[in-house]
Amino acid sequence: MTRLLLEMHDVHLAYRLRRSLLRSDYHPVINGVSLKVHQGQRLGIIGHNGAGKSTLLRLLAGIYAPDRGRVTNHGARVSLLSLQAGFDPRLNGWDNALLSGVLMGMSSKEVRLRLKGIHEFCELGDQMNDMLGTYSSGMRARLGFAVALAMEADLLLIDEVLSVGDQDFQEKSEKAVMHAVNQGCAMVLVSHSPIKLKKWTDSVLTFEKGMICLPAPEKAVSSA
Amino acid sequence: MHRKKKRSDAVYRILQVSWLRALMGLKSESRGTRLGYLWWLIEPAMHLAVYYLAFGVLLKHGGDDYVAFLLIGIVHWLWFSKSIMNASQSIMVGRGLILQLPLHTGIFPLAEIFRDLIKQIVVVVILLLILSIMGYLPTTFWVIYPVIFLLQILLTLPCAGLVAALMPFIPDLRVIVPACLQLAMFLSGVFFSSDLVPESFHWVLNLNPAYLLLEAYRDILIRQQQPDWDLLANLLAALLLFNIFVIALFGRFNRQYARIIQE
Repeated sequence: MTRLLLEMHDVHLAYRLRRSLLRSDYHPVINGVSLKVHQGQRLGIIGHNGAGKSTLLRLLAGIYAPDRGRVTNHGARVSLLSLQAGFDPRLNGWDNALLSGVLMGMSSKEVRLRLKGIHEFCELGDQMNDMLGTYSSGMRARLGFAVALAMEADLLLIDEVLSVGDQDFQEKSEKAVMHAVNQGCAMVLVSHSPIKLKKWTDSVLTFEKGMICLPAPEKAVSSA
Repeated sequence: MHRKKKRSDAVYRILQVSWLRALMGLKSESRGTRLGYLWWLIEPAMHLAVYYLAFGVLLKHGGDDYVAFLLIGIVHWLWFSKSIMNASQSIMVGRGLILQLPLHTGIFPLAEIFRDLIKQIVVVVILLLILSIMGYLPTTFWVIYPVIFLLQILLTLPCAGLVAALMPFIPDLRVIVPACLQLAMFLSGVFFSSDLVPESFHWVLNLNPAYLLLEAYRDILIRQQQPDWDLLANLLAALLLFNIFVIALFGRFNRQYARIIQE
C-alpha cells in the first residue's frame, strides 16, 4: 500500500463577482470534488477551458481554502510547478535562483546547496552572472524549470504542457520529470490535450462543470 | 509540543522569506536608478532643503536649533511614512506570487518594512554623524536612542501591516492613505515645536504616537534631557496590544487573500 499524500473531501468553491457596492453574485467553480493522490501516482485531469482545472490545482497546492469540504495534506511537499516565481529582471541568475527557490518553500541553505545543480541543469554557463533582464525568454524558462525541479517535491502539480526552451531542453526537462516520478514523486497533470495526458499519466479523470466524472470517456482518452 | 514546534517553524520561515525578499529588493532597486544607494541620503536631504526654506527662512520659524530639529523630524517621519506607503501596496504588487505559491501574506508587508528598516539604519548613522559635525556631540543620552528606535519599529509594524491587510478588501485606501499620512505629518510636529501650540492643547499632541517619538528623539539628541518615560511606557503598552491585534488579523485572513485578489 503506497502512502497517501493528499486528500480532497467534498470540496466546494465559488468565486464572488461584485456587481455593485452591496450586491454580488456567486459563480460556482468546484462542486463537490473528492479525490486522493498516492505516492508514485500519475494522475491526469482533462477538462475544457474554464472548467476549473487551475482552481483545482490551487486548492491542491493550498493556495485557496475551500468554501466547503476539506483538503488534507498528509505531510507531503507539494509543489505547483510555477516557473519563474518571483523572478526579478534586475538581479542576476544566482540571486534569482535563490529567491525563487526560497519562495517555493526551500530554506536559503537548501537552495544554496542546490545552486550548483541548478546551474548545471539550466546550461546557462557564465550568463548566470548577468542580469535576468538580458536573458531571452527561453533562458528564463530554463532557469525557472531548473529551480522548480531542485525542490524535490513529493507531489508535483503541473498546469498544462511542459514546453520549456528549445527541443533539446524540452526533452531534457521531460526526462527529468519522468526521473522524479520514477523515484516515487507523484504528479497531477492538468491539461486539455488528451495526447499529452496519455503519454504522461497512468489514469485520467474528466473534469466538467466543477465535478469529476468517472471514468474518462473513451473518445477523449483511448484506454492505455 | 509538536504544534508549538510547527508554529515556530512557520514564523521562522515568514521571517526568512521576508528578509531575503527585502535584501534582494534593495539590490534590485539600487540598479534601477543611476545614483543607486545614494538616493537613500539624497531624498531626506531634499526634504530638509524644502522645509528649511519654507519654514526656517520664509516663515522665520524656529531658532538656533531649527535645522537639527527639522533634520531629526524629517528623517524619522519619512521612515514611518515610506514604510507605510510601501507596505500598503505590497499585497497587491505580490499578486502574481500569491496566486502561484502557498505563501503567508504577511511576508509581503514585512519584506517592505525590513527593506525600509535597513535603509533607515544607514540613514541614522549618517544623521548622527551630521549632528556631531553640527556641534551636537555624542552624550550618554545617545544610549537611549535604540530604545526609541525600537518603539518606532513597534509603531511601524502594525500600522503598515494593518493598511496592507485592509487594502485588498478596500482598494479605495490607495487614495485615502497618502492623504491621511500628509495630514498626520502636519499633526506630528515634524517642522513645528510645541511652543507654537497653546498649552491647553498639548494633551492632544501627546495622544499622537509619532509626535511622542519625534519629541523623544529631540530630547536625547538636541536638548540633552531624559524623554518623558511615563508617556513612552504607556505608548509601549498600547503598541504591544496593537501588534498582537494586527498579527491576529493576518492569522485570521491569511488564506483568503488569494481569493480576494483573484476576484
